[in-house]
Amino acid sequence: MVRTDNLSKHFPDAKKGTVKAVDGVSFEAHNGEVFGLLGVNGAGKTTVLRMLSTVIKPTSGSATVAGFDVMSEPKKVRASIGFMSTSTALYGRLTAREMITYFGGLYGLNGSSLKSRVDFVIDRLEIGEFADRLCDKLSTGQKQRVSIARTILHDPPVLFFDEPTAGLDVVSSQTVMEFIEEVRGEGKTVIFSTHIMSEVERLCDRVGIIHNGKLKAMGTVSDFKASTGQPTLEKAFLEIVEFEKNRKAETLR
Amino acid sequence: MNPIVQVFRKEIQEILRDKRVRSAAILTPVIVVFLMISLFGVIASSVGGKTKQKVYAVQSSSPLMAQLKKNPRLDVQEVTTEAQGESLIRKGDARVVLSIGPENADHQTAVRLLFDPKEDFAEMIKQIVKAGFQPYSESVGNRILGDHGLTRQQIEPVTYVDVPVKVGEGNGAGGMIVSLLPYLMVLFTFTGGFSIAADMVAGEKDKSTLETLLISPVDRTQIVLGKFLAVLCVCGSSAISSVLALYLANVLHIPGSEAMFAGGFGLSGKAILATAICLLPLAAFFAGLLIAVSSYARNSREAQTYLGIVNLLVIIPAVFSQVLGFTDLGSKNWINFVPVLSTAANMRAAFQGKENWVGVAEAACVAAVLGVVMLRLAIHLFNREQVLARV
Repeated sequence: MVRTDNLSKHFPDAKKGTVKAVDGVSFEAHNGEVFGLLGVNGAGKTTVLRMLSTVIKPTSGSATVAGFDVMSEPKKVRASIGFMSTSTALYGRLTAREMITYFGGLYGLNGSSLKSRVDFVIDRLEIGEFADRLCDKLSTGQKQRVSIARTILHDPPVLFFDEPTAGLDVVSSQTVMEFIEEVRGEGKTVIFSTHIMSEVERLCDRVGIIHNGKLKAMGTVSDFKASTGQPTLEKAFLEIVEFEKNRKAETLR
Repeated sequence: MNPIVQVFRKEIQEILRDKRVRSAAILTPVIVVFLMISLFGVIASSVGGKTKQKVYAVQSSSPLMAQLKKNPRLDVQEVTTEAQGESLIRKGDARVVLSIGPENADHQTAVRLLFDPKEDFAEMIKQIVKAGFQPYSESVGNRILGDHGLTRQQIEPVTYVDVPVKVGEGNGAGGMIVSLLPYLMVLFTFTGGFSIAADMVAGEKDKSTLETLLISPVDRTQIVLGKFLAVLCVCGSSAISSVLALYLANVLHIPGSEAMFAGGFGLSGKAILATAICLLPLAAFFAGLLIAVSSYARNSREAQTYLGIVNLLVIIPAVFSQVLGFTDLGSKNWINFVPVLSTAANMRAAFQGKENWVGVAEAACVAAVLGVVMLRLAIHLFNREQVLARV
């Protein structure tokens, strides 16, 4: 389970003073649920995920991941999560197997338990054919599968996906989405950040719409359509983030 | 397994598979050492008189001409006139042209030496010519003194006797290798690490692998330590590679090596110990510095720019260490507190068989303190949020 309470992150900026990248975001994501963070580029989705994965510290507010506080128990939080994004790369001069084994070691696996987990994920994600090939030599789809293997190797209860299909072709995207559906079935908590409406409609049980660092709305896709009276998620999203109002204000300026 | 060891092993595994690093850290020292020995060896042979220098002389019947032709260090070519000689100098074909005048009634002969003052080598040829005429000059001078009932001892109030004194326990090396070896070892210790530093942290930012690493439950300090040890290892390998190259050059007798190793190789047990004590903390200082720069930089391109500046800070004292022998600075205690220079100065003394253990300890302590400072700085920079994306 993941819970955030008034989570904020402010960055100092030489030109703008202070930038509120995330401003008072609160939500809960439960076991066996895919919770979507939907927003345009720069809305604050990645910053939320970075705070939840303890890479950066919140300016204010609190958050727990798998029952551990991100501020006081960062190591336990990191041990409980798997993180994947399209920009997440592999070490080009390691083979797929070496890459997975390396991260298994960093997550505290060793000896026979490490070997059996590595064999398990290689088998589950059908990596065997290219497991001993250097990551630099793999295709985009193969790299994506190795990335997924690295993410789930230590069997974390919480998984973060930060725009995991951006830049991928249809086939590779399909692999990622099928995988997310599988892990939901295993009872894991998934936070899925994206700006692609079709992916949200297919995967997310509930969604939080983030805009300019603020959580504008939270609910199911049907809730958004109903509350805005719009026929599609895309139109509902634009209404929620006050796209038209903002555009007119921009024009007047 | 300890996470520091895991990170270290992974870095070394990647480094060994990187052609650029293999060539920069291991192969380059060997190639550069071989080239430098050949080049410096040729220069040393020229300066030391092992190769003949071409000199031009206007045709003359003077006995000095015969004397000149007998000089084993000179290859004498004749020209018909001074003008022809001048023309050769202007065209760059001749460095020195002699015009030997007739002997006068007082048994004096005027020798005109035509040369291009901008040519450094002309000065050396002039010295060889003058040294070659010295026996003739002394012989004629002795005869004139004899005619007046005098001897040379009577007119020379000061006489000189060279008495070499053995310093230090070992034989020690001498000559150019003593200047070159510490310089090369210090330089390659740095350049070895330099070749991988940008990839270590800044490169991971570029490739987006850093975030994955930071999300693992390993402490950031442990990650830095693993990377630090990997850079340290490459710095050390590069230095060892340069010593092995020198050893091979000596054993294989590559061209120029005879002149370079004329005074011996200088690597006694004590010299190796002193070198290790000096060089290891210096390598730690370099590794810490390189990791700190790589952690601070936004990307590997920015890291390369900063590393270029740092490179200069290392090269300048390293180059200066080569000319320490021409100053008395090597004996000054404050040198031991100047990083890089202190290591080179103490290694130089060790290769000469004149180990100064207090100086070695001081140089090692200074480098170790700087190494700790740089490592702490690297850890501090790596633990900041901005390590991922500096704004």
